[in-house]
Formats: sequence, structure tokens, C-alpha cells
Amino acid sequence: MNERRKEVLQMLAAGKITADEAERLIAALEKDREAPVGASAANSETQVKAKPKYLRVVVDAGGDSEIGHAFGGSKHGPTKVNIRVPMQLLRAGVKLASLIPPQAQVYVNDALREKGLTVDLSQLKPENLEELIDGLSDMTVDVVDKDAKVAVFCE
Amino acid sequence: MIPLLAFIRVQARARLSRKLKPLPAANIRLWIPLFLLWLLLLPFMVVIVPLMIVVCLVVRINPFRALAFFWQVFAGLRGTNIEVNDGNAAVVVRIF
Repeated sequence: MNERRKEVLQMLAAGKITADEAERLIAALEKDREAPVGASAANSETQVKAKPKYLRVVVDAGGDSEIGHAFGGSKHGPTKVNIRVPMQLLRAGVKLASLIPPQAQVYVNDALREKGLTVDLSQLKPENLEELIDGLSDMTVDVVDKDAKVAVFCE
Repeated sequence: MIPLLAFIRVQARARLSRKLKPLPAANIRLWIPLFLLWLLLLPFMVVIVPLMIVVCLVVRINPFRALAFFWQVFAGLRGTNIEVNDGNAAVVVRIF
């Protein structure tokens, strides 16, 4: 039994306090015990829901690997790339993409498709932006190859 | 807030090759006070902004929206960090 609760009961047994007072004191003690648990739960919730500030791309590739060459690597040694892009820049970039006239969007979409990216820029709208950013915060991409490691994540 | 400072570091090992032209080692560290650059570019904005507004009107885009989005891209650059190292050369770009 809790020490404080014991004390309250002893006071009640000794006749120092009435039954009502004892009940109120015990209720107050219960509240005190529950409050820190609730506070920590709220903290953990805010930590989980904290919006990421940066998108990170980390590449550690051998000089001869395909990924190493893609990042401009040479035979002199392993290629290491560490990029941190602010989420605010991504947000602004998506908003800017929404300004591209529809005629130009067709050309951009075609050019992206040629590069193997099937993205429809007309579907990128500022209204859906927060949803996209929220989706990115849950995203982690880890590519582990024998010669290379690529990690894309938000922090 | 717009970026106020940029840091650029370029490190390159010396190239001691018989076939290729030998190159000396390089270690460049640059702190660029961007706020001074913006102050220098400010007079040009008097010319650039009206020109941009005209272009936006020609392509039927709200010029104020376009300016706001460009400003956001500009402000979003703060915190960017790019580090590339290929064993022979290393480049670091940081924007504060």
C-alpha cells in the first residue's frame, strides 16, 4: 500500500480526521499519481506528431558501384553524399510547381516520363501539400546493396 | 527568414598522374555573407519585379501568388546542407 495512503488511514483510525476528509485526501493522492502518467502520454503523442523539418538523403557508395557513378563518383574511392533539404523548401517547390501553366506541365510530365518518373504535376496541388508532407514524415527508404547504401528519411 | 550566410568548402587531393595534367591540392573555405549580397541586389529588384509581373500577366499567372511562392523558395533555402565526398574531392555547401 502507498505510504501516504497508509498515513491517511492511520489518521482516520486515530480519529484525527473524519471519513469525508480521508476520502478527499485519498482522492487527491490518486489524482497526483495519475497526472504524471497522463503528462508523459501527452508528451509522447506530441513527439510522435512533431512535424519533420528536414528531408535527408544519405548515400554511401563504393567508387565502382552504379550508385556511386550516378552521384558522380570516381574510381578514387567511395562516394559519400549527405544532403539535408528543409521541408519548407519542398513545400515552396510544390507550390511553385502548381504555378506551371497547363501547357508546360504536359512537356514537364513527358520529360519526367522519359526519365522513368511517372509523376503527373497537375495532381500536385497546394491543398494536398500537408497530406504529402505528413506522408513523407512516415517515409523511410533504405537501400542496401553489396557496394552501396542509400537512406532517405525525414528528421 | 531569408538565408543570411553561406559556407562553401572545396577540398581536392593533388593529382600526381603521368598521363593527365598534374593538379595541385586545393582547400577552399568560403564564408559568404549573403545579407550583403541581397543588399547589393536590392536595386536590381526595382527592374526585375516589374518585369516579372509583366511576364506573369502574359502567361496568365497571378503575379502576387508567384512572388509569394518565389519568396517561400528563397526563404526555404535556409538550413540546406549538401556534402559530397568521392575520395578525390569533397564539397560542402551549407546555407544558414
